[in-house]
Amino acid sequence: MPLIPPSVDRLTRAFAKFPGIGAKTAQRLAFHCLKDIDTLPGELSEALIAVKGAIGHCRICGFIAEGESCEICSSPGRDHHILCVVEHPLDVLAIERSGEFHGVYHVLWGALSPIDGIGPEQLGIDRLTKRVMDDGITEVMLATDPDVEGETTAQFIAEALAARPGVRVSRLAYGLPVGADVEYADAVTVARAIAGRRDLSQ
Amino acid sequence: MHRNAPATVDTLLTELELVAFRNMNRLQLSIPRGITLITGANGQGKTNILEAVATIGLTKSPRSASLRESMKWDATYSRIRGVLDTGERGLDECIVEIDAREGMPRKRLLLNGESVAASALIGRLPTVLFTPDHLSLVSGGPEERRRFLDIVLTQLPGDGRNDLLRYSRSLLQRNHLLRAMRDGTSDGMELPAFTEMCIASAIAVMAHRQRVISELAGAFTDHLSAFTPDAEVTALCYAPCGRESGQFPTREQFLSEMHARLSRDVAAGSTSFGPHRDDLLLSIHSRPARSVASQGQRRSIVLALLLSSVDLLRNHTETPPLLLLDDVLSELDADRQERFLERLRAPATSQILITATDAADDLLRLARPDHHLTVRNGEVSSTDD
Repeated sequence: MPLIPPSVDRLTRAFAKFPGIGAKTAQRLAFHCLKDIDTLPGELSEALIAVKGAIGHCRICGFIAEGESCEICSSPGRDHHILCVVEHPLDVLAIERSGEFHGVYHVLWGALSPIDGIGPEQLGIDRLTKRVMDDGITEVMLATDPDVEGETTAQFIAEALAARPGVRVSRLAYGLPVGADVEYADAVTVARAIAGRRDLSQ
Repeated sequence: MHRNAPATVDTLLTELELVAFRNMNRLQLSIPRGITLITGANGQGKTNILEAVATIGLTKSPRSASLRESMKWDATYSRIRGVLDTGERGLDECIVEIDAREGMPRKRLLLNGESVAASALIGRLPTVLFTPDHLSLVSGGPEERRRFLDIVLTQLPGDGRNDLLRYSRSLLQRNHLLRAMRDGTSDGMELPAFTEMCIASAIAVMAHRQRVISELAGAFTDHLSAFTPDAEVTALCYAPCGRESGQFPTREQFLSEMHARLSRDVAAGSTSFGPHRDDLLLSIHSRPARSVASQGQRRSIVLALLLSSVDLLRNHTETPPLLLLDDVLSELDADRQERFLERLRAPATSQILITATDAADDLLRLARPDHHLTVRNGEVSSTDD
């Protein structure tokens, strides 16, 4: 008989799937659940199931949403002609914290990366360019991360939009430390980056 | 900026502590100013000490790419800790640790207790490592010469290291895409964007390497003249993308090279043009040193290159570099040893660590070490009075 029962092993392996959690930490988390067997597992599983049931992707921008569309896409107070393209949902939160952006978003959920088998199709770049046309977007601000994959993605989108008249394409640039991710930037840095965005449309 | 200009600060590595590194269980060592000689039979751990010091300077091992390899074979956690005395700015504690307690080995860098990026550590302790492998710099392949250049470049202030990383990452992604195109799993829509990224970072990398080579060339002739009468006719120049003409490809030329080679590159699954094919050309009377230089001339060229890199780091990093001579002096004749060491002494460097299998009389007479340590079975003892 194995030392660790299969149910506990299964929980451990589930925890190990989280970023930054290795085998030992996963085991510690699993055993912590057992210590508090009457309340914690119930709370945790209910919260997880609630998220799974309630949360989906916004039909318009891909951000997380409870329902058809997210808060931002359904807000009449936003400028629906200015679009900010980001890699991850947490980037939306970082840019919102700056208070400098009043347009709407498009979340790619990743960046072009042949190593990981992610191409334009997986990112839905066609959907993005179609949205730009259909929704009468006048400015696209590319806020992908300033690493090789993020820059290449920005370059690719800029080229895909180059043929569309009346769309200004800019790149979030100044102020972001090289090698950093948008989601970790502080509000001031992001504000400066938005102020210093550069044009990619010519 | 001439050779003997005083550096503004003098950074010394005063303390070195190793935990489960290579064959060392635990080692604590204080390293004074001047020349320290480390002797011991082969396989006792002399080289490991120098490797650890270089790892503090470069944040990675100059020897192996794999993290696991530098850990003691039965360990799950290993650490290199160095204390840098930066003079008026006080002490800096630098730690490179490898943690495999959670499965996959992970590297972490700490500066004064805070977790930091590699860029925050690199350049604090400029380091030049000289091993017997360097003796084939002239006769060996271009890869070894690129590595020599890049180790210098990486430690200089500015974007050099970052641009090198960007280029290698862009190239890696582009090569993966070429293979996906060959295997029919991608239509290559995004290839132009990756090609653009490669070219932009390639141009930056070539500019950095050009700058390093032209600065090395400035000091090279003078250093070489200490070893050979052919110094004036020996030249050092850059072959960007392997072009022996020395001609830099413009952006447009680069792009057309990439286009012209596309079908071949797709078939091979790798990019055949770019600074990953760079070379550092060494010539005597305009003929390749690789084929015309004698064994003695080749060694002289290597010594002059290393001395030039010491000057370059010293001129750009505010502190003389720490020099690591790994079992290499015995490969040189007494005359070369003497002239080489003469040019390396303070103020060119303020700390030199020399390893040798034994403290031969010749070595003691020429190197005049200030301190002498012996290593046995991964343990160090001092033989100073």
